[in-house]
Amino acid sequence: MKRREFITRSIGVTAAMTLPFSAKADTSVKHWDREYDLVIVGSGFAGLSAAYSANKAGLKNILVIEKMMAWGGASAICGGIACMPNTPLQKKHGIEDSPELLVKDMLKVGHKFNHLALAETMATQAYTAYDMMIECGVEFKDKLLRLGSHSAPRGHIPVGASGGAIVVPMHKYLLKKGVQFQNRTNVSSILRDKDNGISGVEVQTDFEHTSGEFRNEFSYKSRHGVVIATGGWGSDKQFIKTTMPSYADLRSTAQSGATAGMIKSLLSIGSLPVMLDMYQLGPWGSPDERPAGPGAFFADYAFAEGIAVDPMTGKRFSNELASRRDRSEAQMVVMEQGTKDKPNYPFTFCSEETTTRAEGFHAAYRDGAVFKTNSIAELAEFHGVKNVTALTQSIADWNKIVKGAVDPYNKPLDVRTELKAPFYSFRLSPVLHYCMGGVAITPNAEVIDATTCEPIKGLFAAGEISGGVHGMDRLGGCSSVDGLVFGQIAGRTAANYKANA
Amino acid sequence: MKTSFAIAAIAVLLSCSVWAAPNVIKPHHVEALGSDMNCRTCHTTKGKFQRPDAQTCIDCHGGMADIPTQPNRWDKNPHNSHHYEDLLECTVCHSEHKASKPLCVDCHVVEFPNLK
Ligand SMILES: Cc1cc2nc3c(=O)[nH]c(=O)nc-3n(C[C@H](O)[C@H](O)[C@H](O)COP(=O)(O)OP(=O)(O)OC[C@H]3O[C@@H](n4cnc5c(N)ncnc54)[C@H](O)[C@@H]3O)c2cc1C
Ligand code: HEC
Ligand code: HEC
Ligand code: HEC
Ligand code: HEC
Repeated sequence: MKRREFITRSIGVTAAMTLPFSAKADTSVKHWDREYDLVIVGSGFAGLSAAYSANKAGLKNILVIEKMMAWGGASAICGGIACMPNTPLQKKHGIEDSPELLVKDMLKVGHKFNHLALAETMATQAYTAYDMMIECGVEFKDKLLRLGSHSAPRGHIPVGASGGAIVVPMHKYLLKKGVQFQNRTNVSSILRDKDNGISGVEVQTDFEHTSGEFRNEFSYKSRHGVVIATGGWGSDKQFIKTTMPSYADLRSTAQSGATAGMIKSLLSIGSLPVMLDMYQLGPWGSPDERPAGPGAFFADYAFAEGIAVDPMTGKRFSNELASRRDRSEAQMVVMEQGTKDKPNYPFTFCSEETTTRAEGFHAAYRDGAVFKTNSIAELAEFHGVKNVTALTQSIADWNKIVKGAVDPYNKPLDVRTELKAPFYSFRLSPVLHYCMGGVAITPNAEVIDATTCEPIKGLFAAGEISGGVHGMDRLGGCSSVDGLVFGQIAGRTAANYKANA
Repeated sequence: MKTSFAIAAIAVLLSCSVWAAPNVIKPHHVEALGSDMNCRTCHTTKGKFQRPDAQTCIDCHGGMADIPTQPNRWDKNPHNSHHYEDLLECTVCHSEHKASKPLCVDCHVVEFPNLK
C-alpha cells in the first residue's frame, strides 16, 4: 500500500497547472492500490451514461470518480433541455422531425467544422438517450421547445427544468445497480500498461478543489480501459486566455470544477486535439444574474415571442433565434457602442402572456434579473433608449409580423403573441458557455492518437471533453444528447475492449 | 519532490497532537447530548480521525429528505434541490469544527440564517 497516513500534501492550484501530468510508462506503475473492471472519470451526463451501458454489458465492478464534493458537474446545474428527434413525445405532439434534419441543423450552425460521422451518430442514436432516461425514471414535461436554429420543436424539458432532474434519477438508478461512486477524488494522470494500452489512473483522494490539497495518492487499475467524461474547462481562466485571448474577460457559465487539468493530461498522453480555441458564447447572459441562471430560460421565450433591441437606436438588430454565435456577435457589436461608464446593453422583452409559460421567469423576476415596465415610455427610460419613437415603431412592426407580415430578419414563429405592456425585459451580455474543442474521438468514442491518427488502445472519451460533434458552434439542447449518446457508446466500447480480461 | 514530501510528512507527524486540539464540538450537539457527544460518537473508525461519512449523521438525524428546512423568499431548499436532491453528504454544507457553508451560495443569491 502506498497509503500515506496523516500526510496532507498540496499541489496548489497554480502548481497543479504546471505539473507535468503525463502518461507514465508501465515501469512506474509497480503496484495497483485498487482494481476495477472499469473506471469512469466524471459524474455528469457522459460519465453516468457510460456507467449505464457498461453495467448493461455485464461489467460488475464499475467506479465513477468525481473530483468535486457535489455530483454531476455542469450536467446537474444545466437547463436539462435535450433536443432529440422522433421521440414518442414528438410523435404525440404530431411534430415532423428526423435525425437527418437535426444533422442538417447541426452542420449549418457548426459551419461544417463538424466531424460528420460523429454528428450523424449523435442524431441517429438520440433515441437511445431518450430510452435510457425513461428507464432511469426521468420524466419530461408534456411540451417541446424550439430552440434557436432548430428546424423543429424537439427540446425535451425534464420536469424540474434542470439537468439535475436527469442526473439525479440516473445516479440513483446506477447506485441500485451496484455502480460505485467516489467524490472528492481528482484524476491527475492516465496510466499506460506494458502493452502500451491505457490501464488505469492516478488519483488524489480527499481532494479539496479550491486549495488543491489532498490526503492520499493512489493508482487504480481499470481492466477495460478508462472512460474520460470530465466535461469542459470554462472556469479555467488561464487556459481560456491562452487558447482564445479575446475571450479572456468574459464571464463563464461553468461550475468552478470545470478546469483544464484533464485536457492537459489527455494532450500529454498524445491525444489528438481539435478546435481547442473554439468556444461557444451564450446569447442569454445578463449583467444582472449569474451566467446561465434562471433568466437565461426566460430569455429564450422572450427571444421567441418578443424582440431584442439596441438601446442606441431603439431598433431590432438580429434574428433573435439565430445561432448562438450570430446572436452573441450581434450583441457584442451593440455593446461596443457603449463605454465602461455608460454601457450599452441590448435587451430583450416580451408581454405578460409569454412570462406565464417561461421556465425561469418567476426566479429571474424575484432575483431582479427581469424588470417589469408598464409602458413603452417606461421601458425606454429604463434601458436608456433616447429614441422612443423608434422603439414604438419597432414594437408596432413586430406586431404586424405576428399578424403575418414578412420579418426582415426571418425569425421562425411558432407562437404568435401580441407585444404589449406591461413589458418584461432582460438586459443582455454574452457569456462563455461551452468548449467546442476537445480530444478527437471515433464514432466508437475511442480517443485518437496524435501521432498515428489511430485509436489509443483503452482510452475512451465522451461529452464536452471530446470535440468535433458540433463543429464550430453548438445548437442548444444538443450537448446533453451528445453526452448521453457518446457516454453510452464509450461504456459499450470499453466493455468490449479486453472483453476476456 | 520526494524530499519535500518526506519533510512534510515528518512535520505533520510531529504536530500530530495539534490535530485534535482545535476540534471543538458545536454547542447544539453538546447541549443536546452532553458527554454522550464525544469525539468517538462521530469519528467511529478506529485509529486516525477522518471526516465522518453521511451515515454517521443519518443514524441520528435521518436523511435530508426527512429533515425539512424553513421555506425562504428565494425558494431555495438546500435539502431537496433539483440539482442534487439528497445525494450530497451532510458535510458538503455542515461542518462540525468550523463555520458551515451552504453549497448553494456558490451560485445563488440566498441566505440561510439558521444554518448550523
Ligand atoms: C448553466 C448551464 C446550462 C446549460 N444548459 C444546457 C441545456 O439546457 N441543454 C444542453 O444540452 N446543454 C446545456 N449545457 C451544456 C451541458 O450542460 C454540458 O455541456 C454537459 O452537461 C457536459 O456534460 P459532461 O458529462 O461532458 O460533463 P460534466 O457534466 O461537466 O461532468 C464532468 C465532471 O467531471 C469532473 N471532473 C473534471 N475533471 C476531473 C478530474 N481531473 N478528476 C475527476 N473529476 C473531474 C467535473 O467536476 C464534473 O463534475 C449547459 C451548461 C451550463 C453550464
Ligand atoms: C449521536 C447522535 C447525533 C449524531 C451522530 C449527529 N447529531 Fe446532529 N444533533 C443531534 C441532536 C440530539 C441535536 C439537537 C436536537 C436537534 O436539533 O435535532 C443535533 C443538532 C444538530 C444540528 C442543529 C439543528 C438545528 O436545530 O438547527 C445540526 C445542523 C446537526 N445536528 C448536524 C449534524 C451533522 C452534519 C452530523 C454528522 C457530522 C450530526 N449532526 C451528527 C444528534 C446527533
Ligand atoms: C446543500 C447543503 C446541505 C446539505 C448537503 C445538508 N444540509 Fe442540513 N441544512 C442546510 C441549511 C442551509 C440549513 C438551514 C436551512 C434554514 O435556514 O432553514 C440546514 C438545516 C439543517 C438542520 C436543521 C433543520 C431545522 O430544524 O431547521 C438539520 C438537523 C440538518 N440540516 C441536518 C442535515 C443532515 C443530517 C444532512 C445530511 C443527511 C444535511 N443536513 C445535509 C444545508 C445542507
Ligand atoms: C458531531 C460530529 C462530530 C464530533 C462529535 C466530532 N467531530 Fe471531528 N469532524 C466532524 C466533521 C463533520 C469533520 C469534517 C470537517 C469539519 O466539519 O469541520 C470532522 C473532522 C475532524 C478532523 C479532521 C479529519 C480530516 O481528515 O480532515 C479531526 C482531526 C477531528 N474531526 C477531530 C475531532 C475531535 C478531536 C473531536 C472531539 C473533541 C471531534 N472531532 C468530534 C464531526 C465531528
Ligand atoms: C454550480 C452552480 C450552482 C449551484 C452550486 C447551485 N445551483 Fe441552483 N441553479 C444553478 C443554475 C445555472 C440554475 C438555472 C438552471 C437550472 O434550473 O438548473 C439554477 C437553478 C436553481 C433553481 C430554480 C431557479 C430559482 O432560482 O428558483 C433552484 C430552486 C435552485 N437552483 C436551487 C439550488 C439549491 C437549493 C442549491 C444548493 C443545494 C443550488 N441551487 C446550488 C446553478 C447552481
